[in-house]
Amino acid sequence: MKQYILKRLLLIIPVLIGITVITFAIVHLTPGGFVRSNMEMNVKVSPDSMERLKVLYGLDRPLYEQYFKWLWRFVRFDFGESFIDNRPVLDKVLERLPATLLLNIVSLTVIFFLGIIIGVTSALKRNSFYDRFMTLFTFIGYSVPAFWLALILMMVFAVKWPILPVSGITSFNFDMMSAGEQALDVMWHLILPVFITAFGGLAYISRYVKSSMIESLTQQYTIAAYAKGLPENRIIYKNALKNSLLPVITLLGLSLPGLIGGSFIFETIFAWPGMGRLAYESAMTFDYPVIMGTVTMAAFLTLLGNLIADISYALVDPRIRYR
Amino acid sequence: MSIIEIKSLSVDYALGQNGVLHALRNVNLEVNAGESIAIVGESGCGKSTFASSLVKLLALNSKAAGQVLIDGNDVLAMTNRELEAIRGVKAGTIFQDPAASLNPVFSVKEQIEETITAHLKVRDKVELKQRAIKLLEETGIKETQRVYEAYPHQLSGGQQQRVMTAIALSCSPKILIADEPTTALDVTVQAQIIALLKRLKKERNLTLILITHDLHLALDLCARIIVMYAGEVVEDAEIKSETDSKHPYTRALFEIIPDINEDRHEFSVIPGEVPELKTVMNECYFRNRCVKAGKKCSESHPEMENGVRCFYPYTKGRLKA
Ligand SMILES: Nc1ncnc2c1ncn2[C@@H]1O[C@H](COP(=O)(O)OP(=O)(O)OP(=O)(O)O)[C@@H](O)[C@H]1O
Ligand SMILES: [Mg+2]
Repeated sequence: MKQYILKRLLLIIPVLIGITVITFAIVHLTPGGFVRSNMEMNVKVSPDSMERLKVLYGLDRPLYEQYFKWLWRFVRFDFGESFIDNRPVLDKVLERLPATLLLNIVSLTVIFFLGIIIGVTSALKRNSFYDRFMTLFTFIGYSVPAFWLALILMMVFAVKWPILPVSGITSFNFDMMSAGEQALDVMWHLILPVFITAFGGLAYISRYVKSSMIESLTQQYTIAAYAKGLPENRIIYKNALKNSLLPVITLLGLSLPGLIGGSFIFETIFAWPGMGRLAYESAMTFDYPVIMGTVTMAAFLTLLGNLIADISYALVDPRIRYR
Repeated sequence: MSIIEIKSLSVDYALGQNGVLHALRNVNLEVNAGESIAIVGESGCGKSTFASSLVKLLALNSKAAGQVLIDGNDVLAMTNRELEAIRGVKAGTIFQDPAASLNPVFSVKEQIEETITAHLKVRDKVELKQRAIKLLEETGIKETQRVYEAYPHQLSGGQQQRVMTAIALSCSPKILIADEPTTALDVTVQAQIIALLKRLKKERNLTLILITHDLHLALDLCARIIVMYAGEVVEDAEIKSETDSKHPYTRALFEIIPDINEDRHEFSVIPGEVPELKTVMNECYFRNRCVKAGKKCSESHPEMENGVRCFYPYTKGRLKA
């Protein structure tokens, strides 16, 4: 097992390098570019000084040279500085990370918690009105575009009846609150974004849990459990449930990239001070080092999430033991 | 008093738009404590349905009528709660495919001990382990400690069936229902499991209800043979050899067994097909395949008489009519 984890950790390196190569290429080949998009509108900047700027940032060098330079700094955990405000990229990313992690972890928890409950109850009452209603409800969540729903809900609950904050993660007077009030304030800001992400993600998990629960309830080992005279609750919520939750662990690992990727647009709408918004802002200004920093971090988190999912799978399913 | 008494038991399966299937029709049976019976018949004749009705483990689309009395109490009339107190306690069950019957994500330890805890309310870890190990030893498992801690996939088919047997007997039921317990196992392992069942039956004075399509196995383990055809009992008698049987269908079952003593090794089948189970007909269901079928057989449905449901039965002790 230890060897397996080590192997998987080492495997992250080539994948990460691959991802950075592709991102680097896409970002630098995009028409526009840092110097032009930031300076061209400014009449006071002469073409001459634009050239000098390019040289200063090393943007005149061939692409592969720029990449290797970036990689060489990256392996020493040096992500460079932002072109826009000259602050270290690592600082900028790390200060945005908690907000993204908070939103994603809370959303994932809600999605899995509700998804499992809906999936299991639908499996137990399949074809009932409840089951059909839940199918419809979760599919609406699945089909409605998150950004659209976000705008509608913001309009209703933050503008028309202002019971929830429009955006952001804290109120403007956050600094003057006590610790307890601060926690409540953050939770209050989390309601809308978490609701929207959860609503969109529920269908996926609940359908999955429902079908795997139905499957384990019809397996021979469930019939055998009844034949043993075990209490029905134990058969359903222990014996059958454990079997049907195994695939859900894999699902958890697979849904991480979607959530982190989805944050790009989502965090922008909600002015959520997370990595997604940072990536969006840096993309709009062609701030190459920050773009690379956020993408690398997102890729790393995704790969780590997959690894954790695989390891937990191995821990709960006795049939799988990695070597 | 008889330990099991079945009174006009019928089980229908709803087939949606395709009507209903009569899987069991008016089965009457009495089994004394310590007596062992074998239910034999071709595939689809209702053997498993019979086994499941004994502890009301029937599929959701089924409808049962009649009575199944165990120790005088009607199982079919019981609530789920009451059934939990019967299953595993009065009657343990083992199934055809032990690999599928054991839950893959729980260890043998957990699967034996949860049964003991559920029924006997034993929670003490040391006592639970003692009981589990003892059961594993009783079912002839060699490396008890390893098997105790193992997960089902780490065991051989034979070990899995022994573990299933240990679980089924963990709360000392007087009845053991075994639905094709050896069909999924290979031949040498089959012989071992049969020997095990024989020994347990004797040691624990079990009432064994053996479900099988293998007449040899039935004769080997049980004195009393119940032959089923199209959901009905067609013969119910003490049978040791072909000449003991009276029903042409039972004789036909004997004829198709490859006999080691004879020079006939190819498998044969009874010609013709089992009738549709969807209709109730006023005739003998076996008549189209029967060598002895006569006029009466197509005019009315035979009733059980002297342990056989036939208008023209063979005479006991004679090979030909
Ligand atoms: N849940 C069900 N719904 C509909 N029909 C069923 C159901 N279960 C069994 N049947 C049908 O009932 C009949 C009797 O089935 P049963 O399983 O009792 O037969 P069996 O004698 O055990 O056969 P085998 O030797 O193949 O195990 C078969 O025709 C089968 O197709
Ligand atoms: Mg069967």
